Amino acid sequence: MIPFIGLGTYVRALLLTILFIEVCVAFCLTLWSFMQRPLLPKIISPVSAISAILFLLPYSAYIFAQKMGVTVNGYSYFQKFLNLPAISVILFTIADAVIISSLLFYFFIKIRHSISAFSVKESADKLKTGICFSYENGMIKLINHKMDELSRIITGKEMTNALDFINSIRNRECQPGTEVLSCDNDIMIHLPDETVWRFSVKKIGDMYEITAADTTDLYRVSEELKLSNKELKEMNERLLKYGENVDELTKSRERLETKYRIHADLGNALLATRLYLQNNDGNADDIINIWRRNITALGVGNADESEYNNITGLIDAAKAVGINVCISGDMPEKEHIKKLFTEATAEALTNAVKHADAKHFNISFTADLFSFTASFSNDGKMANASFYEGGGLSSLRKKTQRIGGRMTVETEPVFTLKLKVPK
Amino acid sequence: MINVLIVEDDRMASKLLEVFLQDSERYKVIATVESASMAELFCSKKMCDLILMDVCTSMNSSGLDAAEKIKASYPEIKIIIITSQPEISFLERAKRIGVDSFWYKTPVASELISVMDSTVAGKNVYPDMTPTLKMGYALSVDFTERELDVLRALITGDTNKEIGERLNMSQYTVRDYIQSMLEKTGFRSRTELAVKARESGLVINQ
Repeated sequence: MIPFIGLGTYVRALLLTILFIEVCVAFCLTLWSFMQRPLLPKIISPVSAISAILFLLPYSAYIFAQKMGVTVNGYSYFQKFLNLPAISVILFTIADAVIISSLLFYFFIKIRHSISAFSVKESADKLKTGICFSYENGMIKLINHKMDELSRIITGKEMTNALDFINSIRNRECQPGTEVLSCDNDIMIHLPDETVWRFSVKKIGDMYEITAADTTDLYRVSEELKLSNKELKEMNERLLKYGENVDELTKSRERLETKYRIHADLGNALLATRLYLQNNDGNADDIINIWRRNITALGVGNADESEYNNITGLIDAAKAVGINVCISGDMPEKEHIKKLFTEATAEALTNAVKHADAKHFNISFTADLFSFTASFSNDGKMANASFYEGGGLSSLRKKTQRIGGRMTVETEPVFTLKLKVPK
Repeated sequence: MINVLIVEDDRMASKLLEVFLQDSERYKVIATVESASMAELFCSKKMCDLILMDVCTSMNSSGLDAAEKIKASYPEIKIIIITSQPEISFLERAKRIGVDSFWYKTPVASELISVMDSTVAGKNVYPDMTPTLKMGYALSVDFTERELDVLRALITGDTNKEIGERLNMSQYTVRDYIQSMLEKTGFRSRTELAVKARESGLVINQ
């Protein structure tokens, strides 16, 4: 068996170089393995390093001594070690190389599959949204490139304190060209490059999380939607207004149609009169009736409509059923109040006749600085204990409440319905 | 003589009715009122046997609402609904609440007298159908019942969502109904559809 020292110079040099590399790598792995949790690498790495040194040192010393011309004698163990078969040294070198390579591979895999603070920072920097974590006092724990960039654009400097940054925005202390659109729950900022960013601040335990997202498209769409909704609202309001006027328009149209009809009838009456006068043809009474009917209708049509309003109509109706109506005060001019009070008058009057068999009905309109009041009472039978609000009064109460008013019903000493509405 | 109460907010039309009835010599007009809310007043005094009731009257009072109340309290009083509005729901509701007869206003007075005579004799006189009218390219009969419900809500100025909530359907279904009506009529917008529907009297929201 050829001993190691019997090998050629180049082969020995190669083996010793490999051993030297193994020692270096195993030493590094030893240091690294002590920073890691698993136990096995902590044992294997130093063992590999030490055993490689055990081979490396004697052979290196022998070669060094040979080069220096020193003869090595008398160290029997050293001599025996030098005379070990070369194959055992080669096998050890290979085995140690395999072990160290396995350890290297193990650590490589471990590094690739573990998340370190650096990998977190690296990932955060790659985000297109801005992100920043800070302590309660605003000191920054983690911030990514995008948030830094946004800070520079908005405040003109790097972010050093997260809370100061947010307060600067809230106080609108921003660089020219940036505009704070809203500061309600989330902060919306319009930047000079025409993008819109939304900043959200959230407290997670004892940390603050600040995120910034590019909401340019969303903002544009929401602005368009706002505009469309505004237009739609205006359109609906116009439609509603039109609905209120259309009844009047329809009545005017019907009135016009009636007038056409009367005029056509008058034309017939003229013809009939002419025939009667010329040929004594037809019935004089019928012709007179046609004239009378149409002239009466036309007379009504030409009368001043404003003289006849809903309240006078109600009084006329009350008189026709034998009720004396007494009004004090003036009906408010505001259209919606006038409408409510007129409706209340009709309801109270009908109830006075239907349930109380009243002969006198009193209406009182009063006003103070803030409200109008309409009060209705009658001299009819007292309401009994089982009085309850029917559909008419309930509906009136709802309508009164809808415009911010109040309706009260008193049954003693006389039945009184009172409506009080704001001016 | 049959005592008649006229509920009509157009004074010229009510005057004409008064003259027709006087000429008939069978009917006596005891009063003419402009709002349906006043009609019950006369019924409670047992002053009338027959009411000629318009649907859309003064003070935004519905003739059909008043008729329902009167029929509940005074079933012996005959009621004839008179209207010029082709709104289909008027006819259906009049039948449902037990109104005695229904007459679409026409210039021929004798028609009304004939309807009144039949009603007093205990018969119910109802038109076979509502007058057909044109809405753009469509006729009123081309609309489905549900489309008319949506149209009736549309003229109040409500949004699709509000209409959907009122009619128990989704806002997308409302949108589809409106789109279908726009296609039928050829109108360009929902506003035009609503305005024309309201103007023509096809639908009236009471």
